[in-house]
Amino acid sequence: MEKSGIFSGDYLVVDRSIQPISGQVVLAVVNDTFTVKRYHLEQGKPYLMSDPMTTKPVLVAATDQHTLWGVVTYVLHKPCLY
Amino acid sequence: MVVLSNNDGCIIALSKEAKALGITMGAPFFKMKELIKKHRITVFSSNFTLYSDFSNRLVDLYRHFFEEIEVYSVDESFIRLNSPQTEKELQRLGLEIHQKALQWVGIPVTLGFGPTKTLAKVAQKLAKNSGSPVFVLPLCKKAVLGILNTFPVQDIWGIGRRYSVFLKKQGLYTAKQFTEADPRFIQKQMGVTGRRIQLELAGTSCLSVADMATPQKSILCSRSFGKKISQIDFIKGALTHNVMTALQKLHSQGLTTGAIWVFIATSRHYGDYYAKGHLVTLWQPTDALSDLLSAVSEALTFIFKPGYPYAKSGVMLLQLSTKSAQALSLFQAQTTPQATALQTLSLTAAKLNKKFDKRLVFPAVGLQGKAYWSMNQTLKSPRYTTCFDEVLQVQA
Repeated sequence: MEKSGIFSGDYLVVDRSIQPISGQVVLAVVNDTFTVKRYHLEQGKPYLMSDPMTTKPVLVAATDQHTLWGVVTYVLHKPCLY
Repeated sequence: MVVLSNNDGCIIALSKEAKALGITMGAPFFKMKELIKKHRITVFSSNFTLYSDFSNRLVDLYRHFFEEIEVYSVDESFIRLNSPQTEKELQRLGLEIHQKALQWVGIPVTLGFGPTKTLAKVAQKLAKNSGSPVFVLPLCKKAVLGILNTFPVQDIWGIGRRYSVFLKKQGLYTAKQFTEADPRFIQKQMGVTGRRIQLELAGTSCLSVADMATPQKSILCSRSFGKKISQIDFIKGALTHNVMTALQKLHSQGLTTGAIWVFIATSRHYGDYYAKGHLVTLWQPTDALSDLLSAVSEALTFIFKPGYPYAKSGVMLLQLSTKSAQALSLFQAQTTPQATALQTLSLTAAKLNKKFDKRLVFPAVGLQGKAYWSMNQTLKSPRYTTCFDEVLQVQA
């Protein structure tokens, strides 16, 4: 999810009390696995996509509270050494 | 799914499915191993750090909505509602709290509403039994009595197994029968506690939602050992840690202790059971580690018998008082430079241990026998919410 400013090793702050809106990065459960994706509403249909699009966007039942686990509000990134 | 007690000894929590497969609450782990293997039941060791954090989050959530909250235990709280509400409003409120707890914290809580604490517990039990997240006791007293008529006496909060057996022998099987029993008889047999339960069930509130400012009457800290111990030095090591844990609680409430009860015991399950305790009254109220360790050494001379396979040790701090409320003892010890230095050392150690949330600094005697009395906790859940190294890892 480098385009979104999320790099390997980063810590994510996840808020479960916010209702996800289209365009936000979310923590989701897909096939019983936790995953970080961008939530997107396309013509009223909810999708989960990685960016860049390494896998096909997943169509989501937005009412299923277990699929959309929480909204990623902040990313903790450690500056690297040169 | 099941959860094991400290030391992976007994089953202290189990899911509905596990219960249906024949696992019983409180059963020793080794006895259930066959069943667990057969049905591929998932097993977790206790992780109270994780559970306490979740408990704190739930309490924070309650604080969003209410002011008077009593955190009764790690998984139960009492809340006092000040403004009177209709049954419908309470039902709606309960469902809202349940939904928010599930959404914000991920824990499904069950709520019971009643005019007294004991009745609220009745309501909560009914909610749990019916699989519903909320149960509101009717405002009509007659309807409540109807409910108490089918509520078994052993499920009443405050009435344990022994009393319920006794009450049943007297022909008191339901909560309703208990409320209608002769008050003088209840007072005589169960003391003021029993009378309070009776009155609370009848709708008269006797127990207030405790203000957290009330100091404790005693602080108990005990642990079962990972392996049996017979050497006195190893027992001293375990007791050192019992004392340190108790002291942490003492310090956090700004209290001092006037007496310490020290006990050791062998296992109840194997061979001859031996358990003995000794009370040491301290010269003056103290919160210093060195004073308590001296007391432990003294107590051990009275209770330790060589050759026994000890399985548990513990201490209880009694005669607690706030630091400011101390009366000067007739035999007040002189404050020597040594004593002051020792006090400074203890305080510094306590500060370090608190900062790193780990028992880094402790008296050397605490090292003795660690391999024996340290808890077995082989299947712990990670400390997802309190430890950066154990946070959940995900992929994009």
